[in-house]
Amino acid sequence: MNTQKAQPRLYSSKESILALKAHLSAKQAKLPKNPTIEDYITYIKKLSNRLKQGPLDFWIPNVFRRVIQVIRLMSSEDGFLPNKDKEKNFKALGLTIQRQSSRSKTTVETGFETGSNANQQYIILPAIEQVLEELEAHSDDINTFASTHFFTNEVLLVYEYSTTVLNFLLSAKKTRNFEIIVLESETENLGKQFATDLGKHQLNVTLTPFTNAYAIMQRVNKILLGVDAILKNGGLLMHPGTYAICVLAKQFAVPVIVLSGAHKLTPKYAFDQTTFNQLVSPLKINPNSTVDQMSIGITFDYVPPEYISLYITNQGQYTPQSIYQLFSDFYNVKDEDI
Amino acid sequence: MSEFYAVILADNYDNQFNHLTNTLPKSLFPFVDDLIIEHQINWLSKNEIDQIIILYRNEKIAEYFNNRKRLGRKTQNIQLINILDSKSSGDALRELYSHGIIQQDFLLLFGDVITNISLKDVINKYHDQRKEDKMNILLMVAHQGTQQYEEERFLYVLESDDKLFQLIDLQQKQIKFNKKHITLTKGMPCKYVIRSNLIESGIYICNRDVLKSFQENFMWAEIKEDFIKYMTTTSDIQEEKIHLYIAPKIQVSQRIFHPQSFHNACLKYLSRFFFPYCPQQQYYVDFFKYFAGRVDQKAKISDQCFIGQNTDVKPKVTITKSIIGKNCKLGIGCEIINSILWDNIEIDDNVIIKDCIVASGCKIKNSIQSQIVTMENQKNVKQLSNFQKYDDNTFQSEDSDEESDSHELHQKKPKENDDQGLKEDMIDIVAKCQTVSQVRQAIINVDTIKVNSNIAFENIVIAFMAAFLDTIQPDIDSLKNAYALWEEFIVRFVSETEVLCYIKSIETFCRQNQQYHLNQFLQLSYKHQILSEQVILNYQNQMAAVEDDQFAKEFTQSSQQFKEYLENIIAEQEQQQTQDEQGDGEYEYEYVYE
Repeated sequence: MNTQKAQPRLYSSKESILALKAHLSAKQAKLPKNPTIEDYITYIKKLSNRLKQGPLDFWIPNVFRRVIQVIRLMSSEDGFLPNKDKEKNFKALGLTIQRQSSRSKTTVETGFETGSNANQQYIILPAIEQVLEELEAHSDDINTFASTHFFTNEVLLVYEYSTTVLNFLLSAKKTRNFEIIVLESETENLGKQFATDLGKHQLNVTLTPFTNAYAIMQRVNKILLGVDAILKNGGLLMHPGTYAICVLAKQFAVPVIVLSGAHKLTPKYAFDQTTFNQLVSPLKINPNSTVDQMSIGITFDYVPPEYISLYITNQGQYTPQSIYQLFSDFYNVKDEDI
Repeated sequence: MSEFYAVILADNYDNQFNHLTNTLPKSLFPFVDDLIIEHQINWLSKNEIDQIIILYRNEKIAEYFNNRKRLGRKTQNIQLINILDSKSSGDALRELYSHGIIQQDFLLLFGDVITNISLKDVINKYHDQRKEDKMNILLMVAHQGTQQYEEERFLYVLESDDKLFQLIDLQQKQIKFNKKHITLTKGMPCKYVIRSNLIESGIYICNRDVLKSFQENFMWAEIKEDFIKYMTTTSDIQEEKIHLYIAPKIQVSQRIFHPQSFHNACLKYLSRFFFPYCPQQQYYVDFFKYFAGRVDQKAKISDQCFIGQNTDVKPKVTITKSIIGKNCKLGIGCEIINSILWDNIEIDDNVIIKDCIVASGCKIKNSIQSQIVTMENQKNVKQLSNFQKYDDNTFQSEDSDEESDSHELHQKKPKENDDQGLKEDMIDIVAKCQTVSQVRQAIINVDTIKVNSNIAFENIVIAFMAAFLDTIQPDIDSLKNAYALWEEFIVRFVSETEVLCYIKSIETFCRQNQQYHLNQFLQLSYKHQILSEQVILNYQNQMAAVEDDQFAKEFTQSSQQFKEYLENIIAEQEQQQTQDEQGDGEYEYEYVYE
C-alpha cells in the first residue's frame, strides 16, 4: 500500500521557517547539552525529513538548505561577536583564523563564551532571520529585476494562477501599459480567478481557453510563467500544461521568461516527465469520470531548459546555461541530500 | 482527539457473498493487495485516529488480530469486542454500549467501506455543530457521484445547513414526502433541497446518545431503516437532529455490497480513484496495470489489472480487467476475464475463467463462468467442457456483466432450469409450425439447441411430446393430420432407445385424458414407421400382463385386432425370411480343402 501523504503543502516556505524557530526554542528540542554548529545542522536536516510531506515536496528542504548555508557562512565569517569588548575581539580574531585553518568544530577551549546560548544567539537566530527576510522580500526584488525586460504596449501571456507573476504585474502597471492574456487550464479553474484578480486593478485582461493557445501565439510578445521548482540543469517543474505552451512558444520564437523566488531552486536532476511526478486521482482531471474511462492525472510537467529564455529570481537574472552558478552560491554541496 | 474511538462493524448481516462468508468474514477479504480491514486501519491512522474498536462475530477476526504483526511508526490500539449473539447491527451497538468504553464521540464505520475521504473537515464540522446545539447527534458522510447500485438509491431531502430532513428509499413502491405543505417566499430559495447525486459512504460520526437511544429502543435493528427513519419522521417531537457532510468531488468511497460492487471497487482502486491510497508505485506499468509478480512477454494483459507477488504468468495467457493474488499458478493458454482470484490458486492449462470470484487455495481444472468458488465447493462447481467464448446473454448491461446469483452451484437446479427452458422452447416451436417445410426448419432448430446445451435425446422427446400432445384434438382426423405433419420430426428424434419413453409419454397422456385412445396412437405411429411391429407387440404383451389396471384392460381389448394384424405380419415376414434362406441354399458354395 502507498504510505505517503499527498495533500497540498500544509507548510509554505515561510511557515516552515517559523516552525523551525519554534522547534529550536522548544524545550523538547533534542539537542545535546552544548550544541555546536554541526549539531544544529544535523538537527535541521532531521527536522526537514520529518516535516517533509512526501518525496515530491521540494520547498521545505530548499528552505532548510538555505538556512544551513547561511549558518555556515555566518559561522566562518569574522566578527560575529558584538563589538563591546575589544580584547575579546582580538582573541576571537585569532581564534577564527585558527578555526579556518583547521577543520574543527566551533567549540573553542580557552576563555570564550561558546555555550549553546552564544551560538544560538549569534549564529542560528540571525541566520533564520536573514532567510526569512529573503523570503518576505523576494517579490520586491523580482519586480525590480524584471521591470527592465518589458516595454510599453506589449502583449503578455500568462497561464493559470501564480502569485509571483501577479505581484510583478501589479507593480509593473504603475509605469507602463500592457495587455495581458490569461490562458485557462483545461482541468482546473484557477485561470478565471487570476483574471478577476487582475481585473480588479484595472488591467487590460483577456481570458481564453487552452485550445486557443496556438491561435494567439503569433500575437504574443512574451510569456510569463511561475514555477514550482527549478532544477539544477535548468529544467523546470511546473503546473501541468505548461510544457505544451513552451513547445508552442519555441515554434513561434516567443521568449519564455520564468519568475520565481530563489527558494524554489532545487539541486536535483530530472530526466523525463516521470522522474519527479506522481499519478493522481482521475477525479482531479474530470470530476465526472468513471472507471471505464482512462484518465491519467499528473502533478507536474517537466520542461527541459531548451525552451526557456530567461530566469528572473530575487538573486539575479540568469540564462539556462548559467543558472548553475546560482546553485553554488545559494546552497552548499554537502547539503544536497536532504 | 486522543479519546476519539473508531468503531468498525466487522461483519455483515446479509447473504450476498453467501458461499464466501460462511468461512471468512467480509472484513478479511483480500482487496487487491491487502485485506479490507487493513485498508481501513491504514486510512484511519492516516487521519490520525489510533484507537480502534472492532466488533466481530466470526472467530477468524480474533485469530487474525492475535497473529498480526505490522511494521510501522504508529501502532494502533485495537480492541476486539465479541458480538456473537447479535443478529443485526443494532444488537452490536447495544453490546458496545454495555461495555461502556465510549464516553463521548466516536466514528462508526461499516466493515466493507473503501474510501479516501479526509476526516479532518468532517470532525471539525461535527464539533462545530455540537457546539451550536447539543441535539446534533449524528453526522452522516456522503460523497457526490451517480448512484449506481440499488442499495445506493436514496433521495436525500435536506434543509438549510445540510440537516437531514428525510431519507427516501427509492426501492419502495410509494414515495412519500414528510411535509404536507411548503411555503415559498418570492425571491428566496426553497427551504428544502432534494438531492439524488449523493451516495452514503458508510461512515458516521456519532455521539454517545446514539448508543443510548439504541439501548432504549431495543427493537431497532439497522441504522438506516430504524434509527435514521425514526429520527427524521418524528422530527416534530424529537429534538435530535442528523446532519449530512458532503465530501468534495475528489473524495470518494465505495461500499462492497455484492460481487459487482466488489469488482467495481477493485477497478477504481487500480485506476487511482482513491488517491493517495493506491497500489505501490513500484509495481505500476503503463495504463493502470500493476505487476508485482513475474509476467511473460507473450502474455496479453489489458489495462486495469493487478498481478500479485510471486505469481507467474506464463506465455499465451490473456488477462482482462482482473485481479490476481499472490502465489498463483496460471497454466499456459488461460483466459481470465473480469474475475477476482485470491491467493494460492492453481489453474490448469487452457482454462477460461469469466466473471468469477475464486477463493484462496482452490484448483480449477475446467472453464467456469459466473461462479463463486471456495475450497469447499470447488468440486461441485458447474464446470463447462465446451465453453462459449462470447455469450450475448451475459452482456445485457454494464452492471450485470458480473457474477450472477450463486444458486447455480447446486446440481439439481440447473437441470430444472434447463428443462423448463427446453419445454418452453418446444412449445414455441410446435405452436409455430404449420407446414412440412416449417417442420424441417424446426428439426434444425432443435438440433442446434440439443448440441449447444448438450441435452439428451430423451429429454427432447419428452419435451416435444408434451408440447405435441397439447396441440391435438380428440377426433381421429386431427390426429392423422398431426402425425402427417410431424412425421419427419418424430422419426428423426425417436430412435430405438427412445421408443419406450415415447410410448410412455403417450400412455400417461391417454391415462389422463380419456377421450384419446392409445391404440390409435400406436396405429398411426406404426403407419408412419415410427415404431416397429416387434416393439408394439412387446408393449401390448406387457400391457396384457398388467393386472389391476382398468386402463390396461381396456387397451388390450381394443387393441386385440391390431395385435392379431401385427402378428400376422410378423409371421409373413418370418416365412419370407426362411424362404430367402432356402433360396440361398442353391447358391451354396463348396469349400474345397486342399
